[in-house]
Amino acid sequence: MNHQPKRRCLLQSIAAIQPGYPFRGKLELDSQGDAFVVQYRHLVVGEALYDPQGKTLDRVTLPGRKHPEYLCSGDILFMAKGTRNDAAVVRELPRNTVCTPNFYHIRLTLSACNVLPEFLAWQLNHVNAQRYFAMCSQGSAAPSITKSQLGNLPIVVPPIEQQALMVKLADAATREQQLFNQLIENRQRMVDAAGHQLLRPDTTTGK
Amino acid sequence: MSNDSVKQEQINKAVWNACDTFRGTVDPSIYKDYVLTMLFVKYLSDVYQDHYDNYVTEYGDTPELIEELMKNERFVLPRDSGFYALYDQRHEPGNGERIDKALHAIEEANIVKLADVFQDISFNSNKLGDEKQKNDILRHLLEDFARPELNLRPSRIGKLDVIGNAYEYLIKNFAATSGKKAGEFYTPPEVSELMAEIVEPKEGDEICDPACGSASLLLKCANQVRKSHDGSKNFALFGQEAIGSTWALAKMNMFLHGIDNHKLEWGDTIRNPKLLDENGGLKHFDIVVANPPFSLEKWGFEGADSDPYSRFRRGVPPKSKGDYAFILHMIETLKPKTGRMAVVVPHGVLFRGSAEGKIRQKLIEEKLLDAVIGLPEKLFYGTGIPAAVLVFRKDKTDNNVLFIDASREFQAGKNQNQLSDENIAKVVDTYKQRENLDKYAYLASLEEIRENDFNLNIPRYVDTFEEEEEIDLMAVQAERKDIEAEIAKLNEQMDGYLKELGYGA
Repeated sequence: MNHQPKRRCLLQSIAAIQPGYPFRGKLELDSQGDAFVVQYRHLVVGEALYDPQGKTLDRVTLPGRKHPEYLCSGDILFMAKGTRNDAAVVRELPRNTVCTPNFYHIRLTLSACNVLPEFLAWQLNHVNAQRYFAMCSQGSAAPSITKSQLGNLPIVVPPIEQQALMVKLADAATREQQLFNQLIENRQRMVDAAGHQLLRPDTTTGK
Repeated sequence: MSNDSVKQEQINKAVWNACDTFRGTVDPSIYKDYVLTMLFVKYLSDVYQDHYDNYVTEYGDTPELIEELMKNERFVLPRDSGFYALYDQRHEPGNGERIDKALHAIEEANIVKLADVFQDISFNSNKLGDEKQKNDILRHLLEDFARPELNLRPSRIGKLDVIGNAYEYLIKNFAATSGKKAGEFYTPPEVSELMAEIVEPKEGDEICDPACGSASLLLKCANQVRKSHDGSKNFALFGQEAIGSTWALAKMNMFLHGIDNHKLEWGDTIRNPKLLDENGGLKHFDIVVANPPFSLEKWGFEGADSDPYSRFRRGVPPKSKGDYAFILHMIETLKPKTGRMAVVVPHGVLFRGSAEGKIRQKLIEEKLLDAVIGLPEKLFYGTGIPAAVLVFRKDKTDNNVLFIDASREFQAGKNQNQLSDENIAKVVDTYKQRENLDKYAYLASLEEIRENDFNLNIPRYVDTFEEEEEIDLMAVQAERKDIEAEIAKLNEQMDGYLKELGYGA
């Protein structure tokens, strides 16, 4: 299985890169707004964006008349400004969702059907890509990655089965981390419960 | 209305920008006095010029007549001592000396109002650098204040408050940037507002702050009277401040808020109280408020046991902590029937023992202490410690003390927290209701306080801990089994993926 060829290319040869929706100034939220917006705080590293009803997203009224480029399943959001340069794939969001201009909105081209979006997102978060971003990142107060820098990122494209395996492995590892955290929290509650019963004045034992 | 607020912002911005001239050359704690004094002089000059021009349109250009008329102005401005005379000569050497002379002349011409106000400030001081640099800085300062945004003529500005607010804005910003020294002259406006609303000054009240700093707390109290009595000016403000330059700030602050009828004294309140009645005893007030220095070390312990005003008859505060010295002074200056008082204190005042414990016990047993209000941390400039407000009343009828724990409700900020209007309103409402409020307020009887050895530490009375919810140990254990099972399954899956990727063991 390992003997199939790995292709190497630049990100811009397999994907279109666009800045997020050009909001001006401070983002004005509007609970009655006609569109949803993804902000930095909605993005968790290693997790896909999944919220079909948009319950966790913010609503805005888009000022422009032009039809904006909405996010589709399989698109990838990349945090271009600031000290974190993380990426996440869009699994499912409401039809009318945009992202802030702090993101680059990456969409695989039709010819790149041999690349899994989840795998690409994983690769953007991988240490090799992160090292590349750290070298590109400019500006001390607000470091940022330019579109062409992002486009010139070298990408490795293994056979699609291996991509799928890698994504599954990474997802499983993330899930495992969550479970371990739950175990820690579970133990804490167990200790609290035992202590509570022991200190309660009207019982004699922990029974 | 919005026009006014725009104007206010413009003026605030313009005066703040005027400070740029000094930045990097002189420390903010020094240049604040220069900028604030210049703002005051500019205001006097603009008012004077405005009125002068009015007379010219009324009586024609007859300088002698007009000068005679102008002698009845609120402030008299001697010829060549105004801002514009100084501005016209700004390119010639000797700016510092000229400004100092002008200040002196202004003080002389208005000696009743402005006696000693300018004595601590010298524009001709080496603090501003050598002769050339000093002259340069002052030229820039004069030019900054000559800008059209800082035209402070009443005909343009309208309400005087705009200038008073700009002055307070500057003081506030200086406080925010000058670190530890800030507490010396400024109490955060929300705390002042809270205290003013709690003591509720009425028309005709005499109001005093014996550690008045730049007098913003007094002005908040005055504002309460104005607000609730249709703009009434029927109140009297008194204050005392130990630091000369801060006292001068307070005086100017008063004039810029249009309160000419005040009595602010310069001197150490504990060692040398200056606000006395005709018999030489301490003057009494309806309202006494203060944010005295926290735990002042050298407060005047030496002369305290032979205090001519016997302020320390309940006990002499410890040598190195002046908190109770200020509290006792304030108590002694309350009017017998109407006196209300609010004072900011560090938490130690609530529970420290020995001499302070005894004084505290007496104040409680005498039915003077009305309420203890715990404030959030990081509210004050220059110190992050949480403080409390003690309220004392001479008109108390019961012997209960209301405890309010307001320490957990605030707007969080990076270096500084703030109280919002709602936060303040909740404290004031709770204070007026004088009833228990879950996790927030508790009305304690004298007996309860006695049982606590007169320790006023707020958590003894207001329990803010959430009740621990009952945990089902069985369910927790079951959940653990489920999690562990899922982890085992994941482990197996990942082993499988790894094997397929060619890393199988």
